[in-house]
Amino acid sequence: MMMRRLMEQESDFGEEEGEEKKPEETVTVAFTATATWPLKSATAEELIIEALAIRKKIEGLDLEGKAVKTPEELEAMEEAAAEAYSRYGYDDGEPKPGKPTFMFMKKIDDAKLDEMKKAAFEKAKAEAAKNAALAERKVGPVTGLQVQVISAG
Amino acid sequence: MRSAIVAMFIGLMAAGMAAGAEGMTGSVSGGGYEEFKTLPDEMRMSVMLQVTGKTGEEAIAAYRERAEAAKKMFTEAGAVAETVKTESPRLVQGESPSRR
Repeated sequence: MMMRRLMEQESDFGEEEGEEKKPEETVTVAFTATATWPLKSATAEELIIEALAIRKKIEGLDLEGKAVKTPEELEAMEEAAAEAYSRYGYDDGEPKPGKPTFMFMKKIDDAKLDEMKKAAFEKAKAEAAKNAALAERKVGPVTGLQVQVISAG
Repeated sequence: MRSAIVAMFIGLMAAGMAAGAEGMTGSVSGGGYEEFKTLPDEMRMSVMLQVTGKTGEEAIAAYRERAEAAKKMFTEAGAVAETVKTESPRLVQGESPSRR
């Protein structure tokens, strides 16, 4: 890529003024693809093995379509990616083209969530009663409630 | 191991204050949380794909082709068919829509 740019620059010296060679214009579009794999592991150890196997399978796929491209197209693709990188940049936190990112998921049903909320409420109520007792008071009706559901890895 | 935490903060009126000391109002608060540890049952993958063409039309044709190929590849690699999705394309570099 760098070599090609240098060659282009060198060849420009020989050209007449006003006949400057314009770089070939290309259009690059990007899109996101998503897919979900089911996990069957019953233990954390099995999960590591299962997840790594899926990950390896995905990373072995020809996500960039290199197999159907000519060397010129591959070079153009590489240059377009480098151009996009230098012009717009991809921060470390952002996804890079062709590099998959993974997330583990578990849906918690409403009944389980309600059960958890109820348990958390009882704990909060007990703590409030304890705090009130310090001031030799008894608690009355609830005046405010704040609920947070946090998903942790 | 994934875990979901439900945190709850409540404010309770101190009834004793209202009944025992006139003119006094107040509240007391308490917090509680419940944690549920579980293994995940899905692994979600997301990947950004890029295609290039000499014109907008060519790039869009390449996008359609790559999107279809990606769907086929992921399904064949064991992904749940209904979850394999591709988003609409966005312009990364090249002629602007106004120039076309």
